[in-house]
Amino acid sequence: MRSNFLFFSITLFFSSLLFSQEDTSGAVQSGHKNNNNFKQLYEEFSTPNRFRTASGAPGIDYYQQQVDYVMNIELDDKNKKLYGEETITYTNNSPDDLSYLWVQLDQNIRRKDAPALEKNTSSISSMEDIGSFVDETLKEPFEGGFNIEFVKDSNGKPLRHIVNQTMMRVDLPSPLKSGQQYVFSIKWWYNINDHVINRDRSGYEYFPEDDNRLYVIAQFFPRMAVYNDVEGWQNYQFWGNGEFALNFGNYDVSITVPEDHIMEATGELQNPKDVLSKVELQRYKKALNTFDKPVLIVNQEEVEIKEATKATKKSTWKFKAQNVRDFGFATSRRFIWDMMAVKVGDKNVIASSLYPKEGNPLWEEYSTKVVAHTLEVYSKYTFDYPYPKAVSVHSKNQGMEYPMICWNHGRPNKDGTYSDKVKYGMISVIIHEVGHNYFPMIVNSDERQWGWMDEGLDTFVQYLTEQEFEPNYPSRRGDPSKIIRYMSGDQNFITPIMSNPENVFQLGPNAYGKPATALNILRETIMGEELFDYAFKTYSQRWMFKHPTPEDFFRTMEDASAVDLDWFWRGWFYSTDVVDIGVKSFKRFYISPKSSKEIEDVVSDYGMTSDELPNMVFMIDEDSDEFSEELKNNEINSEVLKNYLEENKATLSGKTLPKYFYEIEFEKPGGIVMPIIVEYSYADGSKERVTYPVQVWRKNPQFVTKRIVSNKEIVKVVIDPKAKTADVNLSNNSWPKEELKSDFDKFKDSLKG
Amino acid sequence: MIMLLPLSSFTHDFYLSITEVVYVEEKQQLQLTTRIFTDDMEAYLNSLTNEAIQLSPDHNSLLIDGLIKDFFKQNFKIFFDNNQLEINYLGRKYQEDQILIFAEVMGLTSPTSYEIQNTILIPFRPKQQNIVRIKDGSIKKSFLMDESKTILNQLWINL
Repeated sequence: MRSNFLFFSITLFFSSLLFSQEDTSGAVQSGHKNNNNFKQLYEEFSTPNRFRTASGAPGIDYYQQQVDYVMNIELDDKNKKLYGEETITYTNNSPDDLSYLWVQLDQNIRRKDAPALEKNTSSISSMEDIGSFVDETLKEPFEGGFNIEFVKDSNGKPLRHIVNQTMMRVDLPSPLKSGQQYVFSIKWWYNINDHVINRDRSGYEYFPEDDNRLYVIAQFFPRMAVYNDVEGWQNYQFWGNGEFALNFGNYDVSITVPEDHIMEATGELQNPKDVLSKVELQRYKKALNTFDKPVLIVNQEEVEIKEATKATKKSTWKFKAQNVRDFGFATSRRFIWDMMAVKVGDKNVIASSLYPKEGNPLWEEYSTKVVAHTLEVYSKYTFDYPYPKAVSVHSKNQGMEYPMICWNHGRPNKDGTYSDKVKYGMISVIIHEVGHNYFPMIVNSDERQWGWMDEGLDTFVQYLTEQEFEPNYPSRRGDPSKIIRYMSGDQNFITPIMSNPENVFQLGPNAYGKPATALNILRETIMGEELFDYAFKTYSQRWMFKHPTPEDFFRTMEDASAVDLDWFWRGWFYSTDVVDIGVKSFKRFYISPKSSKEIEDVVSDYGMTSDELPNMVFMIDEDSDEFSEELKNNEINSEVLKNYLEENKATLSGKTLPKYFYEIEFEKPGGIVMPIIVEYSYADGSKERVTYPVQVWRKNPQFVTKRIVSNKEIVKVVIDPKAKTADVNLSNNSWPKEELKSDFDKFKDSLKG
Repeated sequence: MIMLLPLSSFTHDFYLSITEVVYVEEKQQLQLTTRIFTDDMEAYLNSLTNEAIQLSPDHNSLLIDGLIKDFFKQNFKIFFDNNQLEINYLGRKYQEDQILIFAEVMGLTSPTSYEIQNTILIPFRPKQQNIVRIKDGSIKKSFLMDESKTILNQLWINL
């Protein structure tokens, strides 16, 4: 009993060292809140309710509004104007009565008095480029924005309305009751902008050599704002960065353009016979059943003839789309058009591309094939593509998505040559924009509030799709090593992923690269592919054709995998912390016949010597002053231990003691907690990889130690050997410490070589 | 939408270079590494000549090497105790979306005072920011330079 008591006292003595530092001052310490990295996110997350459950699924009372549009649109190619009249049928599926409706007028961001034009700071510098100086000083403002001609109810009676920047409130004569429909019409027109000047999301590109334009038209009609259980009416204006929050609905759209134009749009073409020539129609029908390679409906030769003249007659293209959140179209007499069919699940989907001759030879070779590849891979990770078609349109400097149609850059040099950068840039942007059909066109998150929910998830699946396109595809984003420079940058210019797109410094890494990398790390390193893929698919399918919030995503990923990830969301999504885990020390221990001086001192406080302690094994650190070289004699240098082993021979059934005892101390200068992935290299040349769970950091987020016993000598320790965690500082990742070569030294070495 | 750097119009303007100046005492050597976004560099070189310059991969390596060497010599100058250093341009390479320019000065002892003149992409990009990081042994200091501050004048001891 006495020895047990003593052992207890000694243990207590050592552990109490941890707590004893305050004793001298006598001052009362101040307390603190729960700052633990593993604290659950109850404070950050909204409370689950009947609309959205704690599991991350839509709740029993989940609802969303339905908005159907019938539109007649006309393009005035000569004067660069777009005219439209639309009838909106708004179905109030919410439990609330609505006394007004909000309509989004996104074109108003191009009004010359738009506050968005002044949202950034500007300054006068002591020295300015002459071109931009004159431009800034003398340019005429563009006369953009919607001209609203009328807002009327279904009986033709004018409705009171007021425009606030990019939104318009329509006052209803009497409140729209829950479950009821309201039909009203808007007539409008606007001046179409040259999208190349300001890299706008829609507009035209002008080709002076043949006086033609290529139109990519979007955000072109007054669109209903979203009313839902989290925001009420959307009230965050369009300032340019935060994209769109939109309702699902059915579209019936007629678009009148010069007769020699070729057009693609959201939805299925209803009247190919009216708008295509006989030859074009034949090819169109053939393409619908061709699976091996794209069929040209309009070829380059035909386009080159068309460029020289302008039709005076007009034709009207009719499209219908079911269950889409938006509508876009592209039209020009300069379009080459190819198309093929792809099998997705049990359905045939049409993949097609529109491009001017400037896109060739790149576009005829890759665009439609990449569309088909994207649908196949994304469908595998989410759900079968539910729309009848997907179109990629060539448009200078663009990369912008709409349901079933998107604008993509990638233009070879004038002589038809192109670099790998242009080629892979084009393939990547097509994958990304076609991929947006899944996020946010179908999994319809609120882009105005959360850029990462569509961009981050899309960039993540884009990475998987690129890697399946060809081996070692040069992906710009997704691999952990690619995000290190951003995450280790100046903290004054970094915001958490959970920030509104208007308020971040570098939207590319913030909303695209970092969330995509975080998901990649979750999949490959934290959860494993099987658990991750199932949870990710569950999220996609739960929220297909619905409106998820960030919590719906976070909760589903945990709910479907039984992996608590609150620590991961906290570190990667809610903070700007970085990953930096290192080896602080690595010590070898030997069994020693006598105790250390430290133990001796404690024992002597009890009036004893360590010899009187029964059944104790003493260990000594190789670097300690008390260590003697004799202990390296390969013997068990402890009589007590030898006797014990002898006495218990029967129960130990022939097992022998391992030869090597080590203690490794890990440090974590970075704020993010992550599992510790360690590779131990042995003297015999073998290697072993060990992963300590992230929970090892829960009581001490700075330092943890681990005891390692082995029959083989450890000669090297490397943390995160495969660079899977985005560790921003590799100088502490090895024992013995390895001198890291700078880019300068590496370059200089390469010169010598 | 796809995000390419640099961004213009309604999105955030972001033009940046970073130059690391490392003094290695045992080699009496000053190591210079400058990082610039490749598309900024390409746009700048295109503004200089009529030839359509294409970087990464280069359409004409010899020409581009000459242009970048001149560019660096003209836009990054170092003075130690009021004497301009003869900077030896070593070459360049591409790393993701950036170009890295390497240069060195040999046979140097650390000075009392130093001056750096940094006009990288100024005034070509009106909002260009140029970060300079100076390192001597374990001592590091970084400075933000832009068109209103193209000259950095300090005592070495204040590093």
